[in-house]
Amino acid sequence: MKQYILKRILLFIPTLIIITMITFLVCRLAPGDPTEMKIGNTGENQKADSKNMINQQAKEFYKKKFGLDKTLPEQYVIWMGNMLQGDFGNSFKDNRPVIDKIIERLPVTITISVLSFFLIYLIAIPIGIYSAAKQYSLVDRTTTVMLFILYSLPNFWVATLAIIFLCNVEYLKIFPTAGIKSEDFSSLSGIGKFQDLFMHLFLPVVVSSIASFAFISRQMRSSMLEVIRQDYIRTAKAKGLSERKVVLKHALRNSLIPIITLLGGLLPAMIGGSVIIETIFTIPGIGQLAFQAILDRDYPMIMAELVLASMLTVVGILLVDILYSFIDPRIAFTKKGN
Amino acid sequence: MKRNNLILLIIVITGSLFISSCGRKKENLDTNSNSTNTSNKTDGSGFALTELAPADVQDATNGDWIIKQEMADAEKLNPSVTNDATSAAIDSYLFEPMIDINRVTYEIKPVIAKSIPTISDDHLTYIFDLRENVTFSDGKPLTGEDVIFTIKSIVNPFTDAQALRNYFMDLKSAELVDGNKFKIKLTMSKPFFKTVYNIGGVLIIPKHILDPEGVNDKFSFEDLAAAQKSLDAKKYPEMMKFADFLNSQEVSRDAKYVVGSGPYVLDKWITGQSITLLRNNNYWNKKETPNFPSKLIFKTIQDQNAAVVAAKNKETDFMFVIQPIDFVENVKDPGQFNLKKSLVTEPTYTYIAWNNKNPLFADKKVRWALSYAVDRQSIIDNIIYGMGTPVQSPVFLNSKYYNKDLKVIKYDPEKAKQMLADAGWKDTDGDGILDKVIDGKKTDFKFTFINNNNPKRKKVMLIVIENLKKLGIQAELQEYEWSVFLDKTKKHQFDACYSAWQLSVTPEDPYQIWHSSQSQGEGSNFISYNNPESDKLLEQNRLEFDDTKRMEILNKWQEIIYEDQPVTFLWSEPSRYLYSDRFKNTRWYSYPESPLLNEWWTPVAAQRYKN
Repeated sequence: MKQYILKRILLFIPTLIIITMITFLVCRLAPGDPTEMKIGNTGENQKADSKNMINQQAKEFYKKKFGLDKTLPEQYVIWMGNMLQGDFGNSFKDNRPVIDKIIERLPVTITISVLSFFLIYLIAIPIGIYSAAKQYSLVDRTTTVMLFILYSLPNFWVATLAIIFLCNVEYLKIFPTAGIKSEDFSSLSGIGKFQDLFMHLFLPVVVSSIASFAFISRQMRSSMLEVIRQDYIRTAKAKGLSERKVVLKHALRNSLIPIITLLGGLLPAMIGGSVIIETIFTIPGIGQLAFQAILDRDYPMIMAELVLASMLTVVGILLVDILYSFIDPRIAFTKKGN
Repeated sequence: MKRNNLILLIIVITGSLFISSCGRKKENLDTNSNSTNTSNKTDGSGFALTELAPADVQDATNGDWIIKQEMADAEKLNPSVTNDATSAAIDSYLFEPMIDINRVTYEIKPVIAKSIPTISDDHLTYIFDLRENVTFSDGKPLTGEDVIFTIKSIVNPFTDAQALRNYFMDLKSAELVDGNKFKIKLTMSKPFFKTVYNIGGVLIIPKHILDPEGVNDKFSFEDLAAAQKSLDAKKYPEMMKFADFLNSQEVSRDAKYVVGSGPYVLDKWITGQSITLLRNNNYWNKKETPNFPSKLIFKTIQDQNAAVVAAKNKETDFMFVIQPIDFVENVKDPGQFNLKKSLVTEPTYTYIAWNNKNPLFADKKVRWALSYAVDRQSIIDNIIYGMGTPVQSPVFLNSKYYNKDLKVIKYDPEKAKQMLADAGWKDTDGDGILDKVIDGKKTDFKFTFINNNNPKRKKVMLIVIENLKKLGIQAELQEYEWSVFLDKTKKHQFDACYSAWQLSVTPEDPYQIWHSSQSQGEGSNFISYNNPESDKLLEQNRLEFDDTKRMEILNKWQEIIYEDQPVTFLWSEPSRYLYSDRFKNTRWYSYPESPLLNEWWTPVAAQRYKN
């Protein structure tokens, strides 16, 4: 086992190199110039006042400062060297260390993702199990249709509707409109703080999750169905075990493999966040940071986010593989009989 | 099973019919019953511009907060290095300049300066006499040393102050006169009529906080100029070190460093959420510049819909960037939510830019035809609900320099057809598209508009495309991300686009946008407009210090532009505001980001927030 893990970790290094090289190239070759963004042309209503003579010089200065005057391979090597020492550079936009900006926003995104994850599994798995156990029943068919409807609704539309109907004094005002905490957060009691966060995060978490309900529950359902048809299940029923024991104790465990696979994709999704949800609800999360960095051509930020995302993806997949071997002894990574 | 399928099909069909019928109803804009603003109708648009009310500070009391919604978080609050609109808006309450502009008369209003600066006859020397009672919010006095320090921080080529550095391009030196801390002399190398506005309008930062050891005293202006030429950080390590400090995030975010002399002080900044300013109780100029609200909170809400909901919910008190549809339909009766609407003319104008180098648009007759072919009023009525005034010139329509004699080009497709025919465009091959032989090759009148993913602009361009189709001109629309759009326009790799310029209320200097030299090197003259007569007038304008003479020059220049139609001018769109009705003394100036929130006050009984 340990050998296997070690091998996987070592494999990670060439993977990282290739990913960063490709992103680096794509970034640099895309049209759009970060130095242009620095000299103030960030608004649509451009000021008729800006003189352009000195702007050229300023652009030259920024080119030098950002190291953009060097050749591409040189830039890449410099970046890689710094990165390995833990220095991801400073954001082009406001000079703050990129890592600080990411860490600042990480807790919010992780909170929403983890909560969303729990919500999805909490709802989807029982529905999936029930649908499988009572296949083609009325409950099964209705939930299927409802879930598919939820799946087809674009999440930005649902988010906007939620704000208009649930945060609005014209209809129902239950939740606050934007942000993650209120103005007077610091003056609230412990319980008050918890309540405040809950109200602010409820809608973003729910809206992020709805699309996945259908997906996960269908997965659960189909893998359960496959297991239920097996002979050993029939044996268990024949032995006289209760329906519940059969389903929950025996069938469930064996149908978890696809579910765990999906878990692997969760880690990077957690960090990726969702730009759309974050923008609509004004949540200062990573998704928005990454998206804005791309629009601003903030290269150090884009690269840092990329490294983070790819590292987490690889780690996620590795964890999932390890989990497999615990759940299903048939899956082994080492040669038997060593 | 078949029955189930049938039922499902019926459900799907009825469902989709239902959804598709949910369209937007275009209601007639009967505004006078809804709008709480009066008089001053625009050109028959049906929407009234808000008049400037007289001052109402008789019983003004302190207290209450104003929560302003912002579309984006500020980036840096140090005014020397700031570059975005939100930061600029916030800085206007924290810092002050030597001279400001009176928002009603557009005349110079001395703030830190005692009076209008003395300008030498050759327009190269500017002497500012400063008031002696100006203090920063921490009580320390603001003197000429702080002014000189601020200027040095901007001129330092290694700081992120490039947006302002342009104004100081021709500055030779800035120094105290005979060691008098309240008298400064600035010497320029070239005369320019806007120098006094550009230099006098810079916000002053505190030397005792940002440079307590006086590092900047070591660099003279000659040193800074030399550094600008070489841009070699290694040769000027101290300059670079100071620049790094000034550019750092603490200097732009920490209340310890963001200290100014203005009516408000920075309290806290929650990244991505809000910035809170507290009333400066030690403010030195309360008589002239009131600061009634106890707190000014700038709250970031990025989504338009959420922002409108927040305004209705009373989560915010003031909203400024509102889409026309939200302004008109979403908040039909603002009184219902204890809100008021306001419509203010601000110095902007929109236009369709034709790449003058493109052979399709090279002929003046063609450009005139295109200007006749665009149905401005229809676009104004349909896209911006009538809230726009057609313009005919690149000068702010409310300024004294606007040439009122130029007639607005009215929609006339017949005339356009005629002019195109006169210019040699005929449909010789019967394909419905005009064509002409250019450089020996038969060319169809086809081109592409580029857009920056802005949905409102897209709608405008689509209507224009329709207008042009009727004349046999085939145009398409291509969307690009903002930075790519910018790239293309700067490199002149486009046919046409729709754009807007934001002007200032200070004397007009159209040089940047219209002089032929500005089309080189990614300048603002991205349409490559070239007319030697226009160039001459623009150069004259810059050196003319007599206002009346300048009006003559600009009037003549506007006639030339009108003759040439290098772009098709569209309209000036007033800014739309939504705000709580509890505030008094809400004066709406015809000025960018119109109101001064520090002069708004709430009667005690109506105050929503305490302390």
